Amino acid sequence: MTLKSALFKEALLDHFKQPRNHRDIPFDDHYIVARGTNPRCGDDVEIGIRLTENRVELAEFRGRGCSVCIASTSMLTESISGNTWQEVETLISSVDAWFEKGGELPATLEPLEAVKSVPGRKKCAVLSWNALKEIAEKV
Amino acid sequence: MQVTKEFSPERLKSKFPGLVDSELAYLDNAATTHKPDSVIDAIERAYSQQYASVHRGLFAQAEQASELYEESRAILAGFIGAHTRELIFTRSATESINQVAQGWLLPRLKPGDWVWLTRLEHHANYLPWDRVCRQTGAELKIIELTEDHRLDLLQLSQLDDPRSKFLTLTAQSNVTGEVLKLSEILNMANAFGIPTLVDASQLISHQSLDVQTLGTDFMVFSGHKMFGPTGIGVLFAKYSRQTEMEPLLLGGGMVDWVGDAHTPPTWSEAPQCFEAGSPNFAGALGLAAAVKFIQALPAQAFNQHLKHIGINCYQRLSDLPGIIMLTPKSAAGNGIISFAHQQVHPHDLAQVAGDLNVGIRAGHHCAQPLMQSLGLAACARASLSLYNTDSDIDRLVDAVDQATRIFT
Repeated sequence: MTLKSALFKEALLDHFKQPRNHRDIPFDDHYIVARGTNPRCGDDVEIGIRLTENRVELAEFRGRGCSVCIASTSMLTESISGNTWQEVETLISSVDAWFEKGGELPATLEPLEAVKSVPGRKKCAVLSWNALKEIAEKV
Repeated sequence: MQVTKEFSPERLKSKFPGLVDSELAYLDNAATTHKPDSVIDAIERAYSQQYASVHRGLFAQAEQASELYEESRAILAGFIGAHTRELIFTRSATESINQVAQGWLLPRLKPGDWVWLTRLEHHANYLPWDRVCRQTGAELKIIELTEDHRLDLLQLSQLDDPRSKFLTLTAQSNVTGEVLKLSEILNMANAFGIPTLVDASQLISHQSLDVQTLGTDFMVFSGHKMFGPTGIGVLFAKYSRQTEMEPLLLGGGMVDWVGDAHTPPTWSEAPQCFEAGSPNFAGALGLAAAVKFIQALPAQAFNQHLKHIGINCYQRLSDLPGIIMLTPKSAAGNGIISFAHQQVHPHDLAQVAGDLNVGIRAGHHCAQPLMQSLGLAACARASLSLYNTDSDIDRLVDAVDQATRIFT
């Protein structure tokens, strides 16, 4: 038997097995922090960013979840690191639009395309992006 | 595989059109079972040849529809040893439980009273009782589990208290698969004078339950977990309790007299007063066909088969590295096997299984109070029925093995 879906292709699994910008220790006051949880399955991630002169100096996350949730969060931190806050807001809008009605994803988030074929896992992918939106309200 | 002479899962599977040409290893029977052709035929016949409004028309086909609907009620009543008038058709086990909680228990509770249930309950047999307790100031009391996830029968002595006003319990957990010692528990409740409700949704497809022998006041189950249609369920309410119960839903077909604002309405005789709205004619006939299907099965051989594949499933999974079994070993033969992986999230397990055409469930299984007690947010569950074989178990084990290799 072979796997049909592209959900577990290498790029997504790579982010799951070796998540970027992952930390275990709690965020201190230098970070703007927001948390995304789904009590239905136990996905629980916290994102923290450090802004310096309107630029994302550090984007990190902690928590646990399924492969899609962790990979999506890892890609999120990677794709916003070093960006200006305006660039982050543009990215949030384009990811929002992609979740809602499809379209093109930035290259750094391409592995998420696989989630499209598995609607049941969309919630896992969107969790950290909703947390990032919460951060946007605090910035 | 081991097949008894009188029981062949392969032959039975050929009676299930939804599975017969399917590559899917269907292991989600605790969520819903597939339907045999006799049930599908009964529903098709109800709509194409027998259809008319029930208890409303005076023309021949309408009279016949009313008779067929009442015949279905009699078949269901006979199935559980109830009197025909004690058998109420509802939309679901969920509606049945809400009817009892709001229509019978609510006006009988006062602050400080205790409503008992078990840690194993599905949300359908938890939330309606939680609500009546919040409405009245009564306290929801939980019979907890032992360390190996079985109901702790030693805690039942706590029922012996004048504050205990009701006990509701599942006949079989939809997560751990444990079949409760119903007679023992209900005898104890009866001795303490505590009215009881049994949620038989998981058990009724593979074990006969007689309400007189059990001595329960209320029993509920849904049609779709016992090879019947969705959208229909059953509420058994013992006659003496039924006469004390107020209808939850009001509307057409359940009332004899509706006057003006100064004259209270007069409800119809039971069971009609608990069946507001146009009855689910095709659902009732489909459910009666499901009962006939179950009654025609060799019960003992069916249970031996379930025991065989359940134990095989349990043993094969528990032999895999990293697997934590949530179903107690003693309950494996009941056909519901829940498990988790130390490193692989249940959704990932179920996704890989799904990609390999093995249908299992992952999540909290509508039993969050139980999952909290197990210290988990979610788990994976394989639930078996008469058409499953050892080959399905092989495929499940292969899927879990593949998922483990992918994610660790």
